[in-house]
Amino acid sequence: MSLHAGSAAELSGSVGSPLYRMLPDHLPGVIAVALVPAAVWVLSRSRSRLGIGYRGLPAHLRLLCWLLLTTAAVHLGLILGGHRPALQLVFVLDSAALLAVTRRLLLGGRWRRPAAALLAASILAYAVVSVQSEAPDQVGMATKLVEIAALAIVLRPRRSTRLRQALASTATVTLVVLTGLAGWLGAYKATERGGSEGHDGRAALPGSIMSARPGQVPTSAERAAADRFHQLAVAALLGYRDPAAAARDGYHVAGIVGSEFHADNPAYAKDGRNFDPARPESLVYAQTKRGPVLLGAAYQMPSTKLTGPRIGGPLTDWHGHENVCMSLVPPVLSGLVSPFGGCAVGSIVIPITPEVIHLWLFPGPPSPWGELDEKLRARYLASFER
Amino acid sequence: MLLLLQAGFAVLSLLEAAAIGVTVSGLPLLLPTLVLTGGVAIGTLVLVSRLSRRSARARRLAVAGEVLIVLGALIDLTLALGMAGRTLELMPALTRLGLPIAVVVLLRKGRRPPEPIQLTKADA
Repeated sequence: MSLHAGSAAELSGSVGSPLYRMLPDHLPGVIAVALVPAAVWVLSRSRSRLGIGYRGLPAHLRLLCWLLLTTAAVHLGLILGGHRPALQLVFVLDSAALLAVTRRLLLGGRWRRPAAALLAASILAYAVVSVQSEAPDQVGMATKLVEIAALAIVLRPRRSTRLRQALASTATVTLVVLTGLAGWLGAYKATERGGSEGHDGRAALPGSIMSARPGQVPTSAERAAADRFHQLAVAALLGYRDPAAAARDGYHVAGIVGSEFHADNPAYAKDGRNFDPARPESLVYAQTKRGPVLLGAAYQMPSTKLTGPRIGGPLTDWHGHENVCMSLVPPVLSGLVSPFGGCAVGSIVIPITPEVIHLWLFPGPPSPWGELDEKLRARYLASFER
Repeated sequence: MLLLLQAGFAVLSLLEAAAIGVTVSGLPLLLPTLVLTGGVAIGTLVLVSRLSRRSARARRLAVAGEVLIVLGALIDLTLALGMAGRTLELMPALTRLGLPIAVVVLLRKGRRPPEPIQLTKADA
């Protein structure tokens, strides 16, 4: 498994969402986990009360012991990861409490309620922290998965009835879904916070790979080049306000839905003319009560190995996409890889796409280039809904 | 328990695909995917219930499902290597390779009949 490096876009100085990466601060946690098998091996051969207790556990409680030790190890390792002192203290307390519960489990003390409370608190705390201050990453989500699995064992009813089993199953599934949703929310909130995400650097939207050059100012020559391109594009593309005209030129405009429908032109994607103002690879439409509204165009490079021309410097900042889920029947976008690493059934993961840049043709955006503010788009489209 | 986690993953993907269907791709186009994902989520929960009653058919179905998940992960691994020169990230490797393999191993272990108890002198 990779901890993510090597795509062309990233090598050219771009960054993706921390959700699909391992933050450097979390590396000590991963290293600490590598020590868990050795610890359990020693425990299983020990003649101490703990060793005897471990050997006497049924299989599912031995698994619980592994899971508790794993999450304790991650939190111990994170102490070395350069977090805030308050967070480091929480990690110390969490690790100590997890080890204490594991000890009770091995020695036959009361462990179920403290384990349930501790694991639930840890999962909840991560959800809150990831939404409020720290972007979720692969190590964080993996640790939460370990804790959910541990909690599922803890919640397993001792005296099994159908109702109790159903309740325990529902609780486990709900916990997975809520933690996943918190992961999504945290990743998007990290984008809104910007600036200091992932402890340092800029957070990209999940699924986007964007330039890591914040604060760069375009030169007057770059600004003029971008404006010239924009004027040429507007002159060439406004005719496509009528989708029928776009269809005549090869754009797939059938079934326009939603507020950002990309009508692709497969012929233009292979014509060898990159970033031609009059021949964008996609047109962007929104569906409204008055019919389709042309919002803009998307220019796309033909290969993941090529970077787009930055004619306007930071104004014309191309971006790529990563971890895109594509359903096979029919082949359409079905989402992004979830915080737990999966897609909808029947989808494949497109690991990286060629670079693309959007050019907006309607009045209002502060810059016609790049990502569009959703509120601004909604305000513009509202005039077509009356 | 591991199957319950997988049911949770399916529900999460279902919600996400539904959101994408409404906002970007269109619900009619994503309907087969949504039905399939919802079916897998419900089917996994039914399997959990049947497995607790030690159904051999449920065990076979679960193993087949896990094999399909691993095959899907291998396809994605091939795409990742070919298109981006990288392997699977931590979470996909855990949930789409590690977890299904663990489920298959546990199901195969659970299939074995209990070994006959041999009384030793100490037991006697």
